[in-house]
Amino acid sequence: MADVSIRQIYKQYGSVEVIHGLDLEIADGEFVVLVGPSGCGKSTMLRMIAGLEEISGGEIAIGGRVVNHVEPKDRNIAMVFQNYAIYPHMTVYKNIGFGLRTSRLPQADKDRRIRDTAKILGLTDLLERRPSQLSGGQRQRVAMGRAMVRQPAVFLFDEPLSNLDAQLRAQMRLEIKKLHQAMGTTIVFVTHDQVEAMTLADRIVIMKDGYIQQMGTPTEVYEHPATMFAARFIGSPSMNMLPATGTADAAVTLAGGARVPAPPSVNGALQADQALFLGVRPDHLLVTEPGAPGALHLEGTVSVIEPLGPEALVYVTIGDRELVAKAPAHKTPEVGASVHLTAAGEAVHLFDAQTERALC
Amino acid sequence: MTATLDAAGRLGAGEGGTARFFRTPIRPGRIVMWTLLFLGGITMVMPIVFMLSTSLKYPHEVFDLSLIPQEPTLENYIYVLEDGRFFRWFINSLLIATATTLSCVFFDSLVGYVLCKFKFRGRYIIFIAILSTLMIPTEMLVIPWYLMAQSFGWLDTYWGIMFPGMMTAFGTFLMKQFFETVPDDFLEAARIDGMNEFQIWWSIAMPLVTPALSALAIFIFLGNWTAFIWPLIVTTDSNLYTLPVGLTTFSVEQQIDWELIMTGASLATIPTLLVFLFFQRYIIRGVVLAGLKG
Repeated sequence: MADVSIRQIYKQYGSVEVIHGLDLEIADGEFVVLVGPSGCGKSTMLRMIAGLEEISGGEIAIGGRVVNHVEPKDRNIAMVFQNYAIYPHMTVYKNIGFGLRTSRLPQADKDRRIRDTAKILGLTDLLERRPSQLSGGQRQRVAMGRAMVRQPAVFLFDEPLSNLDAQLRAQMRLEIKKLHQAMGTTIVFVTHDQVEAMTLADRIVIMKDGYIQQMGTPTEVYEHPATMFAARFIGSPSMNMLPATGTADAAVTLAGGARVPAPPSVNGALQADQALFLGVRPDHLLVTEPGAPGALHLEGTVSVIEPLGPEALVYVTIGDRELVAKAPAHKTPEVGASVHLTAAGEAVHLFDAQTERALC
Repeated sequence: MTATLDAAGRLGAGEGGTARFFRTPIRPGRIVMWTLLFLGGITMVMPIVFMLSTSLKYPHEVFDLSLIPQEPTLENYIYVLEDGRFFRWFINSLLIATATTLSCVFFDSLVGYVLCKFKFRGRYIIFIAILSTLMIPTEMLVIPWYLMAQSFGWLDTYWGIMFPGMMTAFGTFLMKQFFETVPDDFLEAARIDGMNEFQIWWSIAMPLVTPALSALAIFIFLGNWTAFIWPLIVTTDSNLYTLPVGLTTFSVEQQIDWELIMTGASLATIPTLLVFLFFQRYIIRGVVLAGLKG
């Protein structure tokens, strides 16, 4: 196991800079997820850690050793690729054992390690099969086995679940989490799926356009998003955003004239006439009776209902905007009905309209 | 194929089945196409049929254009096979075709791999330069080859016959196109797993392009097996003749033994036929993929 230090990392392709001086400290045994939309630089970061991509500036250290000019094979890392990259002309046994080919371990030890890894991953009965005879989930496990068998200091996962169907993805997520808990190895995991990020990570790093938008535990980034991008990216459906204006008495007024008291945490940062966005998550925006207690009160017309089982997503049109709220399944309003939406004061987030950063 | 019942309840074959085939209306365009294909087929097959037919004829019957010999005989085959030179030429051809094939498979795929998977300055220019050699006809190259062989002392040697074909622009192009289909993830995974670049090419990339390698091997083998002009020019020692060159010795100034030439040619086609029979699916796949990619 090892910690990973990324200090002032830059990456340029010709004259185009895609990573802009990032700093990231990953503790020994930590599970860090890099999350962001396509093109945000998360895979480039991972490939730079792996040594598959040269860095244009800065420093990467693994286990205290600077590895800027160290070959991938000498970095003591293992990587699981999006397309699994298991060799179609080799059996599962040979695929798992591939990383040990250059190892100086005695053959008996190699064999034991391969079989132990296969046992952990439930692949013992499939060792003589070829990848074409495996399901997607089994192939994914083989790819993980090939990484595990080397017992590296750091595991790197590059969107390893994106080719699986939803059910298998959930299952593999659980298995990866169990493996991390059992092995305690440092993991850097790249995904564009915020659900994967939330469920797997000890710490999430949200990236956009080569910058880190926010780092924190899943709870932190969900409850206290630092930017509008982070607020929208984490959580499904996305956080509702309404244009608002600051007032002199620690409140904001919405475009329709409604007045909302500012959360206590932003009191010092709020200025009169400041252009803002008020954010509230669909989880916290509830369909209620008029007069229900809360800081934010809105009226609108139901346009779409999405039943989710125990509850439903209610899409409500307010002026030219559409907000998403939640309602219990047994209290779901009809499409076209006028409804009242309420959110508590602590569920309200305020963002500066210019900087898009949260007020705090 | 799925069996289906039509509206009248009759059992017919599913889509692509024979029943559907026979129900397909015969259009004029289809008739023209079949006719052209038939004529093309006849044009291809007739020389082979004549070759086999002539090889079974006595000399006096050679210029009788009937396809079926009046007095079929195997004497020509016995004569050719008992002539030690034929066996020698056969072995020469086999040796030269095999050596050039192995060399081309190795070097063409190595260069194709490097041009495909390594990013370096001038890569595109090198590729274009290699491709441009395809546009130079062999006849133009023969003189420089000869001068080179002469100055290096390679005339009348196996190496002299083989050296122009040890690596080909066509093979490099074909292999580069095939390596495009190998995902970089495979190579990067191997890089992380501790393989060096040569090992990655040999152990990972090469097995993934086996169909292309097979197709290339077949093309190169057949090309060298039937090569005539260069082996004829570079050799004067009959012990070094390849089969196509050797067969010409059955014709002399006043007499051409067509039945013997046709017998030797018939025997010479056996290896090529075997190669086609065993590997034709690879040839077709190789040609299709080379056409689709890039």
